[in-house]
Formats: sequence, C-alpha cells, structure tokens
Amino acid sequence: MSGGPISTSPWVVEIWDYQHKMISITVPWNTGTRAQQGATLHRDSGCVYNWIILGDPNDSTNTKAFQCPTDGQADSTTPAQQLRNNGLTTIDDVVAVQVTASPVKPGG
Amino acid sequence: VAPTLDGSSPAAVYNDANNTTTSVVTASFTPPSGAVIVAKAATADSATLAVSSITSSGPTMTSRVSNAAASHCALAIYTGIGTGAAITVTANFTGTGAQRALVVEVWTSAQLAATPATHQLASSATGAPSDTITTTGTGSVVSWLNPDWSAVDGTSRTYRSSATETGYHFISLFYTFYSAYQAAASAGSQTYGLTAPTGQTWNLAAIEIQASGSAPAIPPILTMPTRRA
Repeated sequence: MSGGPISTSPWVVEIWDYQHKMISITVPWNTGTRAQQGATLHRDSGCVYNWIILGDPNDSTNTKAFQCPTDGQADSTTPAQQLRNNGLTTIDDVVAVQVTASPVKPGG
Repeated sequence: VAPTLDGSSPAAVYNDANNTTTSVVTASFTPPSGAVIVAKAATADSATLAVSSITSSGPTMTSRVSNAAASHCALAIYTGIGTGAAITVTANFTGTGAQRALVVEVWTSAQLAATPATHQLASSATGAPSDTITTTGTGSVVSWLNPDWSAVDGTSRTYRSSATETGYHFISLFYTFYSAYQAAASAGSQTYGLTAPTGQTWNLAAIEIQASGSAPAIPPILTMPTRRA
C-alpha cells in the first residue's frame, strides 16, 4: 500500500511446486546505497523447479537464469560481483523485471 | 476421484517493481487435455493497478470472480481448459504501477460446473481473513487467494480448513500475497482464509473445482410404477 521502491532487506522470493516443495532466492541489499549483496539460492530436494528466472522465462535472450542446488546439495551463494556482471547492481535492478522458476533454463 | 493438483502447474510469477505495469507471464507448461486451469492474479494496490485480464497462448481464459475494493489490493480468478498443448498464461494490468502476482494451478480429475461456485469478500476492518463459499459438488476442491493491503508479515501464518499453500510473497510496506486450496468433501458452506496473521486488510476470492464426473449433491429419485401382467 506504500509508494516508492521496496525498502526492506532482504528481498525474498519463495516458490512452491505441486508437491509443496520450495525453491527460493534471497538477495540482501544495502538500504543506504541500495547495492545488492549477492544472492542465496535454495531448493528442496525433489522440487520440480531447478532455475530461478528473472525476466520472461520464454525469452532466453533477455532473461537472467540462476541454477539452484540439485537434490541433496546445500544452499548456494552467488557473489555480488557475479550479479553485477549480469547487470544487477542495485536491488532496483533485481526487481525491475518479473521473477519465476522453471524446471529448465530458458532456451536450454 | 477428487481433483488433483498436477505436476504440470507452472511456477508462481511475481513482479515487485511498483513503477511499471508490464504483464507477468508463466514459463511454458503443458496441461493435460481436459485439465482445469485456474489462474489467480493480484496487485498490491487497487488504486494504482487493476487486473485487466488473464489470457493464455492456447485455450480461452474466462473471468470468474474479481475484487478491487478501495484501499485494498485487487484480485481476479480466471479459468480455462487444457488441450494437451504447451501454453503460457499471462496476467495483464492497467494503472500506474504496483507489485503483482500470478499463480496458475492445473487440476486433473476435475471439471467446472457450467457456472462454477465462486465468492469474494473484502474486509471492512483489519483482522484475520475469513469468508465462505457454498460448493455444490461432492469431493470438490476450493482454490482461493488473499492479498493483504496492510502487508502484515505472514512468516507465522496459519490457514483455515487445513488449506495447502500454492503461493506466498511478502513485500514489507506494500502487500502480502497468499494462494491456497482446500478440500471440500461435501456440498455446502466452506470456510476459507487464515487465522494468522491478524491485522490484515484482506480481500478473498474463491472458486469451486469439482471432481470429474461428480454427480449433483442430491441426485433425483426416479420411480417407475409396477406393470401388471
């Protein structure tokens, strides 16, 4: 109900599949500079989704895809620099497009 | 057989930029032929962003219930029938911008009544969301959503009627989005919503998904007079 950009860190997106198994991305960010501070990726073993997708998941040229852990693997982290290399410098860059999940990488 | 949430159901989609109105779209998925597709969309603020339509790249999607009360979130539920072909589902919006969400569920062993039972209700005061829908089939499922305009943190959330969650998204100060379904074994009044957290400015909407081949709750009684020889 507020105006303005999101203001609370971290930004968290959790998505469940039909078995109620979850895949998620967590992006902490500096509330002063709004710089993102990397991402943590989580996936419940057996979840049908394997990728977190920023952007249209049906357009492989304009999406950013993050592979989540495979069955039995611990959460993985993506360094802030790697996100910056993908054009995601601030939290506003991260939330500028839609987020969803997919069993496969777009275009893969 | 009661409706079953199918593994082809695509992942929920969220857009947390509140200065754009762009559509949100699912990844491609393939609902089985005859499956019931339930698409539920919401925005963080009815004053700045409305759900204008939900469409698919395949079957026609039909509007079933919506709600855009002032000083609440906006929401809509659409349905379609799968053909066995791969499709995407898109939620479209009009306004100046707000966070938005789309959850699509694919139900097999399911059917829709000619006019499916639906219900919606917006809160008149803050509290825990609660509404009722009157179902007409046996062994049905009630699918529903609840966006909270007060954006209460739902980390410790409790669903009424043992509902199963299909979507949750919390953006502090903006909105909290809930999507769920629950069994409705017998025809009649079904309570849905959450008991916690309280303090929500909620609006609820629900639709009945019937079991395929389900008979009316009270079948007609046919009698034939005995014929004399």
